[in-house]
Amino acid sequence: MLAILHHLEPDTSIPLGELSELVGISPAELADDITTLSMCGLDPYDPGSLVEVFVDDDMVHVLAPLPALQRAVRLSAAEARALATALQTAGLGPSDSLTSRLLDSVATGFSAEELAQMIRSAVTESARGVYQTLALGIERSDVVRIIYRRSGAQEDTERDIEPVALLNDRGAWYVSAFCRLAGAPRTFRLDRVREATSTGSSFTPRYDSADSRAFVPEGLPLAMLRFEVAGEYSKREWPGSSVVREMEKDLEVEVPYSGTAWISRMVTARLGSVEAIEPAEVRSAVRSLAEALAHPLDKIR
Amino acid sequence: MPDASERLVNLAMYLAAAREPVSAYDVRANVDGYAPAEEQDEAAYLRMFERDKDDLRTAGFAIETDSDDRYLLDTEATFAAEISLSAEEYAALRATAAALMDDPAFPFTSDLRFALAKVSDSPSSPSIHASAAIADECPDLQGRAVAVLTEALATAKYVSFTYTNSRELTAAHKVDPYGLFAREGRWYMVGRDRDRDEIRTYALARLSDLAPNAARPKSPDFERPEDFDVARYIRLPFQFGNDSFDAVLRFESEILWRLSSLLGSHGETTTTADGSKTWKVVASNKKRLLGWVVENGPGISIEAPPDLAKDLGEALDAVAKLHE
Repeated sequence: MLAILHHLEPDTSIPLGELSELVGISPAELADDITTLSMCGLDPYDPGSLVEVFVDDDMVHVLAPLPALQRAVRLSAAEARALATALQTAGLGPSDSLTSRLLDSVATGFSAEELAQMIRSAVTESARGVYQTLALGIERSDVVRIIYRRSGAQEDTERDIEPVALLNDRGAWYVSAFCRLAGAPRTFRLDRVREATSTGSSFTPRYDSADSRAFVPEGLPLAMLRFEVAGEYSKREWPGSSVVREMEKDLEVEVPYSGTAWISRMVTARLGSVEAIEPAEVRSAVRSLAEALAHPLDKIR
Repeated sequence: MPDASERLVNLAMYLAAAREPVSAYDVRANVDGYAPAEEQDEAAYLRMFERDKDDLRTAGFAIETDSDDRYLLDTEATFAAEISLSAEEYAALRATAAALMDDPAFPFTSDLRFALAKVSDSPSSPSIHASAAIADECPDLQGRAVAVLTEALATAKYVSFTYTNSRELTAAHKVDPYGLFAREGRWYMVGRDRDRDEIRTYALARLSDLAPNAARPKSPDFERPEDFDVARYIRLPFQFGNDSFDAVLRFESEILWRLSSLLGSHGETTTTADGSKTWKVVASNKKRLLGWVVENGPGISIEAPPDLAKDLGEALDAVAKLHE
């Protein structure tokens, strides 16, 4: 209830649903809390010294200034820890300006640096501007222009995207968007987005953001890979993959892929402990990549 | 009689409105929710008042006590300063919160919810679609373990648990938890194993029967080393092994914008005259280091040790031959 108070501006009416979303409880719980709050106040607990607030027709009506506590209370140690850890997860570390300004304003005696020496919910920090621009783009349905480097690609591409969701999968952030360059929904890994800027134009979402996933294997072609040592196969390194044959030592695994650039680089990086069996386009892409990477090394051999 | 939450709000308002320090007896006389002396003895009242003060302190209220055992709210320490964030920053906050609220591997959702209620800008903020799955393996179990271990870290209590390692060997451990980190779908704990007297890293998905030492809960069991930094225990894929050596990699200028996400806080970088950067890092597994160079390229090459580049060339020749 104490967290609600500073949102209660005198002489205003706030939709119950909006306030409940803001404070993170259900509308029914909030309505109960508002009723309880209306009985709180200061001595002599008469109408002039109580919290003059009530719920009617799914609206929260605030009739007068609060008897006290108009300002937001600083964060407790546990709240500051939760906020700092959440910001870390978003790639905003202790030295990030948002983290430091926010925690300096609302927490006392809390050090994000000290917390980061004990808890790391993300291994690396992200380009903050990219995350923020995409978050605002989703919120306002604004088209965002990104400079993107695909896995294994030599050059960046510039794309206008209609972002609909931000997704964190095992610590890596992705944006789900309709890509105007590809003319289809795409998922972009944020640490491969070099720049993101709002174009200033808005869009109408073309699909339900609730369906967004970091990786969509359905409809993708499958490559058959042989792992020389079964223990070297990890499902998390090969998203959407499944074991189709398990032999005494080695494994055969089907892996969905959207283009040969990613899968050929992954296979090549295993330096012979993984073989692409089929299709031919993947085998050929692996061979070409291995030859291309080996060529500049000839002069030192 | 008002309920406990109503009494707590009344007490918070009373302390916030007080201009002078107030005694426990002033509180009893002026705050609705405390029973009068004829209905509740003094000791019971004082215990209730102590609990309420503790609850308010936990919620962020800085209640000072003077030499006469009177209480006054330190308003500067209690109330947040004005926050000035841009629309993008508020959107980033809301996106992060929306993503983490339903992730069972993030165990601080209740505190995060209260924190955001305090720092959010206005009730008319639009919603944003975001989701998170920090852990891909038993996220509920890992989230619960993180919650227990965070509390053990904060109170410096050792924990006991059963651990099954990657070779399927199971053993009981007692550990002083020093730090936690999440990496590629798993939470890990770094701590000093009490029986083995060494610092080890444990994957939380492999823990069971986790319990903090319940004896003397307000008395710490250990002191974390002052220079401890959990980041030192977050290793790159090629840093697992026993034969450590220094490697130097070169990053071409076109890939430098990706350095912070690729390197984290590992090693030392040096800018060279042509605008590229070299990175000196400790490695423990040659094959994995070579694989890392290939996987994260193009734009990365090996400077040292010299044999490593030769080894990479030979390994790539073998890959090409395998796929003829």
